[in-house]
Amino acid sequence: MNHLFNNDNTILEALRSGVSIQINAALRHLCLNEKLKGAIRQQLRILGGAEEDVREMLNQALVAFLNHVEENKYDPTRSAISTYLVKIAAQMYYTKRRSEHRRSAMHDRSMDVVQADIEMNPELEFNLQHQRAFLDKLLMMTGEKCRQLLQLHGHSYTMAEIAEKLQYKSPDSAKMAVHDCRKKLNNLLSERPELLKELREI
Amino acid sequence: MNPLYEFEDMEDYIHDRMSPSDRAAFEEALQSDAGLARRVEALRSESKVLRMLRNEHLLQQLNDWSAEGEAGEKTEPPSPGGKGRYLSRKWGIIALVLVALGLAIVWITNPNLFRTEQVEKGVTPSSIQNEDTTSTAPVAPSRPIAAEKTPPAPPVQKPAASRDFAAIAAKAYMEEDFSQTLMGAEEEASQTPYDKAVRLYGEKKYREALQLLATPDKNREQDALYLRGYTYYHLGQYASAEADFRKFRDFLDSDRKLDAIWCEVFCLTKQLPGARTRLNTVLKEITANPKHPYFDRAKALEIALQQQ
Repeated sequence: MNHLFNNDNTILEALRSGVSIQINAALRHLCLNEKLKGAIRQQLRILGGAEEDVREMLNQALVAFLNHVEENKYDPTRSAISTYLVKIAAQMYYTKRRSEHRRSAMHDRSMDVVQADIEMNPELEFNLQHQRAFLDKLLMMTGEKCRQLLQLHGHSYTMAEIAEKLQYKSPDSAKMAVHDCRKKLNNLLSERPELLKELREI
Repeated sequence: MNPLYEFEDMEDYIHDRMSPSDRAAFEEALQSDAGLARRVEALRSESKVLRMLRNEHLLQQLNDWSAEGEAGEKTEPPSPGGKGRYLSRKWGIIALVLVALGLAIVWITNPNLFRTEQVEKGVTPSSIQNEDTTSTAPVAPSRPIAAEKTPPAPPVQKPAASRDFAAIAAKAYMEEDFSQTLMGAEEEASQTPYDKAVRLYGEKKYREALQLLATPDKNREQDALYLRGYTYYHLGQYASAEADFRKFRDFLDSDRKLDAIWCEVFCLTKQLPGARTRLNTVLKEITANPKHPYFDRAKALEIALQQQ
């Protein structure tokens, strides 16, 4: 039985459900939506983007969008999900390009056209690279297994699902492993104040 | 670290699960123990790390899905409208022919039954759906429709109106006893996912039930769909519940067809005032047929709505 996403309401409900299966189904639906991809492609082309940027920006925009939904930053009365995602993707691409080619006059000119429109969503501070570097540093000390465990735990997977995915004997074993990793993380963060400080600034 | 307090105690403190006296003692310890304070601060930051890790995992998953989607596209021959659209159109035509054939057989064997069904089908799912989407063409029921436009979101309700709608929704709701649908599977090992979901539903563990219902149980598809609709309803996901109940319109043969239409109604009452037009359409559909088992309730609901 597939999840049926007839409209924005059903997608939003799934994203807000806190159930990993539903969240994944809604994100997959958006990720494979050709119309949405086409709209992002069109916007990125205006900004000088290439085909390989489309997928990258769509996926990053989806993750940012989920965060906005969870933090109640997305207001469905102001824009449709697809419009919102196109704007996020365009802004992310703009930020990425600006850091790469800050002094390119042509680039700046093309950006001016869409900048006013994108500024409708000011909450787009999404520094993925910075986050990734921080996580690499942090989880190098706790180990790859912990990284996987905490990734799934952070995505509201049940202990039974975590046990199945990471091949633990039982949900209880997975639960204990998650608990141990959380303790390790807590020790690390409390013993290394510089990490905690960096985390606060991200 | 204060030896009196373990990791679990800090969790209890953060999640407000301590008794007032324990909490006071913990806060006193926090004042005097810098190590404990640092650990509590680290624990508070954990959610941010988990969110970042979740995002990292999601990005990987999204990239995998995109790659799968693109691999699928590459194996299909190019066509102006896209093969997916062509295929869905083709299957749509086949489905229509099958529906027509089925109806013809039913009409030949039992003309009276056919008349009842005709009245029931006066409003098609697509005509209701079109209120919420930009699509104007009939859409195959099992195919997800692209989310192109947000349906008009309910405006901020005045408290009095909100209470009235809540009363209407409460009156429209109809509980279902799913335990009757179990086929005597008493032993845990012999229970299907559906049986387990029914048990969880009975225990009001709706999230767990939903996890089980997400996996197809083809032998009991209608039962599972009906139960999932109710589960969504109890989780406050009224649009998803409505979508599940609406699927019953597409089953050629179902004992629950008429009940599911009423289920649509009570899901819509929960989405008032935004879903008023859609609700009116379904109510008209029911009241157009005096033999409809929910005729009286639909009439009463129409009157209640008119008095708003």
